Amino acid sequence: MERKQVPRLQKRATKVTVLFVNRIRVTEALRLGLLAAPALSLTLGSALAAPTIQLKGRISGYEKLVPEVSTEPQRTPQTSYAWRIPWALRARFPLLVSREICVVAFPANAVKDAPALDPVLIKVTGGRTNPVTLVVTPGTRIAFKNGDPFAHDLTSAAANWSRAPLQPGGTREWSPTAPGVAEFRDEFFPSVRTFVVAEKNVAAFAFPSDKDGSFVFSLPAGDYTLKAYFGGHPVGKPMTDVKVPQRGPAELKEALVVSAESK
Amino acid sequence: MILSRFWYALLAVLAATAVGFAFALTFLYNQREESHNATQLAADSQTVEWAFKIDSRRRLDALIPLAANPAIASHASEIVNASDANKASNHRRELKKALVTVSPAAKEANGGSYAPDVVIIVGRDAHVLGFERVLAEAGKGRLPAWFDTIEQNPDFELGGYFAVLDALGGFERDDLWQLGDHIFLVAARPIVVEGATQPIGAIVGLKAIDDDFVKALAKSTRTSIVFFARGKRVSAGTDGSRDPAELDEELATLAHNQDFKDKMRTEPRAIRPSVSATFVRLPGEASMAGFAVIRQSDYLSTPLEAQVRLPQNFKEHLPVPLLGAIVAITFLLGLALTYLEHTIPLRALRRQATELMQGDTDSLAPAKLRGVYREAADAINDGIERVLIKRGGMSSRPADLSAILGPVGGQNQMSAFALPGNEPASTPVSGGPGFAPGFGIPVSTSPSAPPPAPRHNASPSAPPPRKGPPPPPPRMRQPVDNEATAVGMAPPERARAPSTSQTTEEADWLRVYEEFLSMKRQCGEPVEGLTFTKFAATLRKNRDALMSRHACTAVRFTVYAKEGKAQLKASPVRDS
Repeated sequence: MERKQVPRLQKRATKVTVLFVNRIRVTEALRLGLLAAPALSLTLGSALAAPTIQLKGRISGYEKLVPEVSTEPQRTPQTSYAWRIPWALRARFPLLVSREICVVAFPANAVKDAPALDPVLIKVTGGRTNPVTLVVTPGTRIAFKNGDPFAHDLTSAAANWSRAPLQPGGTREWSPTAPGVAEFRDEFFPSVRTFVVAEKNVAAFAFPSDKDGSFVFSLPAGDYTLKAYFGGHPVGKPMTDVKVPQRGPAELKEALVVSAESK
Repeated sequence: MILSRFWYALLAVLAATAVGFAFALTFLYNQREESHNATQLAADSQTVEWAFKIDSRRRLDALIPLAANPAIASHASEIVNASDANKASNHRRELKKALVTVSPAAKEANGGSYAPDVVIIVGRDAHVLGFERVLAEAGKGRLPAWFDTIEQNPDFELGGYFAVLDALGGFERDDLWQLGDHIFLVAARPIVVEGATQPIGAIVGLKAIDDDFVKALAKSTRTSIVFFARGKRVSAGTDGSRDPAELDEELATLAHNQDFKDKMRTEPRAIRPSVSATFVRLPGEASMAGFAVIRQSDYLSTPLEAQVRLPQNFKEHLPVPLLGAIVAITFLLGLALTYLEHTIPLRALRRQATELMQGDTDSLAPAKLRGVYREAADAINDGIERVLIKRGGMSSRPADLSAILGPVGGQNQMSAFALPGNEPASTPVSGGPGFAPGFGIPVSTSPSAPPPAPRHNASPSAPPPRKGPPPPPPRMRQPVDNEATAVGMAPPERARAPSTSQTTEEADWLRVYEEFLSMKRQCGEPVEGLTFTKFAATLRKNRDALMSRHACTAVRFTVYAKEGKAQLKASPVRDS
């Protein structure tokens, strides 16, 4: 009985977590048409029925990570930035870690055909997307919103997206249908590279803070495995046997190491 | 006239060679021009890139008055660290005032040529804290209108651009951004507050690459430049002779150019026959945008165009004496050949014609002429003869003895004497009164004339008989030339002897007469009525005519048989 309820509770709790972590206001989500009122009431009602527990943690080693988009010009001299000094690129990264790293909680007991997560909004602005890496379950609706006052042209081979102007304030949606990685690029903005990773059994995801790398999950009680994703693939060492208690907030004693890749 | 003709052929070959050489030089010139043009285009693009590198550093310097201003740094820091919205809003207003106050200093920095159109202050999270127009007014063409909305747009940030990220990390950076249909030169500097370990934000200066900027750049680099983005022209700085719209077709297909993608620049591409352009991809964020440098080539379509484009001082480099010598030598040589082969014979012909007109002579002397003039003289003589005969006069033609002696009945006109009793009655034509029968004496003037078949007691100087087809009848207008005349010509030493005195000649003619009678008898022809007096008179007339016509000193007659009939042959003899 308990086993059957867990996935449903996880699904409903994840929807709330997504809204919380991504700081998407409900009014904005409604305006975009991503959430319907009945679904919202059902989700909130279910969440109230199945309380979640806050799980706090932090990541370490992120200073050593360098986005591939930054090193790309150095690997291909013909597209290098002639008027830039490439060796200083690493110094900037720790400032905006919240966009680059996605921490994902997987339930210890895998479930077949895990349900889709709540819709996720990805903003396109400032020469990048926010977030840069996102991990969801297949079927999750993802909306790209142009936050710049000029048009973008997002393309993706994996998503079968051809060029189509994304006007200021406009959105374009897509849902992954199977596990895998889809990369989205803007031909006229080389720094724009977005990775949407579709994984089975994603319970929730969170983005670390820019200040100290801390993150917060709201999860139903149970056992989980935490993984960090960076640049479209897992990095560091997964943290297994993470227990979320039935009551009270929980805090991880050790940091989730993200510096070493663990493909 | 063979020399003249050779000279004309030589001149034609020289003229063709000269024209071909001119075309070869034109090809060589165009090839060099193409190579030079490619080099110049590469140099132009390099010059523009160097100008950009210098420009970027000076634009960074122009931001110093803003980045180092304590008020700006202080208010930016307060906004970043503000705990409540009201406090942050107050500091935003103060920051705006500080920007307005300091902007003139940025405008005047570095001589005023490198001030940004706008400056944007961003916080640590790259969101906009403040915005100020330093030079440009938004919404008036130089800057898009959306710049006025970025302060109120909570979503807008600049955190993804490397230049801003590096500036937030404490570095000075420059870049090129393509925002919408505009390309911007970007300079970013960190804003540092005393005591802080990291910059609290960054100041970003943007300069639009518009027509004014490109014109100034084109002027300073002495190039023609067109900036483009997304396959369309953005701005241009060209002189009046070049229309930037010429590039539109090329720009539309540039995205598929592999050189542009991989090598950051294309080879020179022909926009139209005399205009080439090199397309260079911009570095940085605007890597799909670029600029084109254009150059016009001075190709020559024909060698004649070189004359128009030659500089004024070209004459100083011309080898005038050499050219003059070539002209003079060529002219004089042609003149000499013309005088030799045309003027001299013409004068001789004219002189003879004058003598003929004045009655000094009865006919022209072809032997004193050459080539066509000789032929012309022969033709004229024949014409005179024809007219004379037609009007009842006596022909002076030596070969036409039948006309002189009258036809011999049953005899070939070319055969020798015939007995009057055996011949049908015939009417004497001219100069032959008393000669009922006539006889013909073939004049050995043609090389094709066959020699007589059997010879009996012929003159030792006569040509030996030859076997072969019968000779053709004598032709009235057969030209007489040196070779033909020489065939039947007796050796001079032999010919001269009988001409020394009348007695000798008559003795010789008597011998010929006897030979002729003997030949006729042998051939079974009648000889009655053929007296020596008649025979000699005929030979005399024939001799005189031949001597007059061929300017010979004597005429020698020989006897031969032809087709069973006796024949006489008259051969002019000249002094050697």
